[in-house]
Amino acid sequence: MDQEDLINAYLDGKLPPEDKLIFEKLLQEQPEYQLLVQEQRRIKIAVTLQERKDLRDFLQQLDETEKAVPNTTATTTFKSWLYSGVAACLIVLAGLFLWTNLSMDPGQKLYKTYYETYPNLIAPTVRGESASNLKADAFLAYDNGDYQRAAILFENLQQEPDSDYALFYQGICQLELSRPEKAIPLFERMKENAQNPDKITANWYAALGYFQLLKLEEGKSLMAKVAAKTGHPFQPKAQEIMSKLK
Amino acid sequence: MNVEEKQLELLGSGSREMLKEIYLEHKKGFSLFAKRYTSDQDLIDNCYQDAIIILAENAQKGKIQTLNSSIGTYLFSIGKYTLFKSLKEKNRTGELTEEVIEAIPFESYEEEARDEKIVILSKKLEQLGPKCREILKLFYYQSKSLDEIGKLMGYESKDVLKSTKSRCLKSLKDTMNQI
Repeated sequence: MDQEDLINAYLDGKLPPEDKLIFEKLLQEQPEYQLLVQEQRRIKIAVTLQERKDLRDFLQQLDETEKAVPNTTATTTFKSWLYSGVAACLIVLAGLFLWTNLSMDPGQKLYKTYYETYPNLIAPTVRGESASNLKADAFLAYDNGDYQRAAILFENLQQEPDSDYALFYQGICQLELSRPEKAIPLFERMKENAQNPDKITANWYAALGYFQLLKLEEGKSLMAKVAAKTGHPFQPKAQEIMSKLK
Repeated sequence: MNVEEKQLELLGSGSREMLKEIYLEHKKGFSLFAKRYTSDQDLIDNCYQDAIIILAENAQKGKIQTLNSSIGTYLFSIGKYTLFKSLKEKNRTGELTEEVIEAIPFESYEEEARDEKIVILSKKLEQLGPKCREILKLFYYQSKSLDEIGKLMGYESKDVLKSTKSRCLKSLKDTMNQI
């Protein structure tokens, strides 16, 4: 191994521990080597920053090419038809909106107004054992909106220890798939002392599930627990719902 | 070798085509995910590009030997790191957990990028010929040994490669010594 190979391996942290010790001793004893290492480090960083810049330019070009594709195909005639079409669609949609809202049951209205997908707050790690791979894949499917696949993966994860979150996220997947009857038992199975997400958050979603099933009384009794939990992020919204239901 | 391993191998060799495929495949999914935390589309695009750059760099430096999950999962976990880091820097909501920090082997060189000598070196690098840039990229960025570079670039003699590399470095070192 020549001098530059050696310094490069040292800077990459690739020297075996015993060689690293010898090399560091040499650095202490001969300051001219320190200068060489410093010089090599600067070159290494400059090359790395340059390569990153090249890559970013390449990615930005890709974005610009992607954006340019639809613009080149658009024509004036197409645009005028498009505007008429959009206007017609808006009229139909407005009618549909009024019709669905006026004919909607109060439970469904509450669900539609207050339901939001719970974010993935459990960041997957890169390294890990087989169990955490399944976990990472489940959350990737969840983040991509593939709730069917995510639900299956979360179900498998419930065999693992400390997997309360899997019950919860499987429940959210079922709500997303418009299956509140399957979601509610999952939220109810969560332990009272569950954390991240906690039982109160599970109660909030179970209550919304009951509203969607038009079971207002069951939903109301769970929502009351959320409304009573001081300082909980869902408390203000739960109190709002309770006052609407009075 | 399965598809993921093949993709990783191509990424490791610096294939831009493979990088393009992965970039476009996961861009929309990442954007949808990131919109739960911020509506700033420029920030999301920047974070996604940072994540792709880290993925490419780690693959080329041989820091990803095997994947415990898919390339998509790996990319998303880096993207989460870059997104939460940016949100934290901008004092917006973001949960940068120890678990996520620990998982990303990457040096950002944020401070070094402001070093005058490094700034001038970077400019000088742009003026080098393609062969010099390729040798220096393989040696310093991809951390390949001289033997590996010789095979990749078709040098029959290691000595010829060594003297070419020395010539490439000389003008850089001269620039640095003038500062």
